[in-house]
Amino acid sequence: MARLSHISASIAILALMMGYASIKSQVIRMKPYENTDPYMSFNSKKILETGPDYFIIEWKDKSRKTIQLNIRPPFQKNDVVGFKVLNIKGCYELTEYHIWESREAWYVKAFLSGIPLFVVLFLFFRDFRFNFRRFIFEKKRPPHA
Amino acid sequence: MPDLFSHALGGYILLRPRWQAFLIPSIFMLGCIFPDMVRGPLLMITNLIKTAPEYSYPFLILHSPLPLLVQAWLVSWLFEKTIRRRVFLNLLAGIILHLVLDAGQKAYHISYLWYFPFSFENPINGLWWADDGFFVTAVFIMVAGSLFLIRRRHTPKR
Repeated sequence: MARLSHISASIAILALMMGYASIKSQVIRMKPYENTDPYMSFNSKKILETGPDYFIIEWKDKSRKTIQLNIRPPFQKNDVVGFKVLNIKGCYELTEYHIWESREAWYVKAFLSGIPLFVVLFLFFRDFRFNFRRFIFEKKRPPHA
Repeated sequence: MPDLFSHALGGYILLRPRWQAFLIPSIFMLGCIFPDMVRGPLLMITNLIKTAPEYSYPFLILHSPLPLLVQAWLVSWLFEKTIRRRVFLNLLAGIILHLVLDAGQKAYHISYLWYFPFSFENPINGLWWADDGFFVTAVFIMVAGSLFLIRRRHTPKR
């Protein structure tokens, strides 16, 4: 009974946390758009357009925002970029930027991560077995124990 | 993020044979990859079906410290009473190591929602971007490989 209580309580707490995150999703999403003076930064933004001294990104209300720089942007249209700019009297200075790798490269990495996952799960199930009747992991007895 | 190679190898590097009295290596290693094991597939699915980012936040918080503590509590109760406390502590130790490595990942906002549910601010700027992690992985592979050879040499033959 105690097991059931603990398992139910922890699942309930996790569900409540996930529900809270869902309710607050708009607040979380708006975080990068707060306090954008003098620094403005985004973890990843698709570059909609670039020019000789500006680039354009999508803003919070789906509109387009032009970021005026004093240099040519070191990235191109359709790049996904993390960047930080400093507002100096209406013109922005690009202080940091990072061009994200392609989505395909991320999927390859995720696929390769299956190798350590397999190894760790192999080590785990070498030590434990799941008893479906009792709904519990039991420690395997070592050979000749 | 440091990939699962880095997380798993980081756990292996920290394991000491003489700690086996109170450490359960397989549980500790499971803890080292646990946060990504839970959240990763869920995020991949939301990415594949191309939903708006806000629909992934309920899954994103599964990687935050407090929800991870609750998950460790939940998982420990899936084990027998005699080892339950050790499972919880080993799993938590692996999770903490995972979070320490992920704290090195650069993000201006949101990140892993470190203070969730109390705040959505990101207190950790990080050092490297998630897809710059190749050098981190390479370092871990070299260190873990060297350690494996050293430990093998010093293990008494039966």
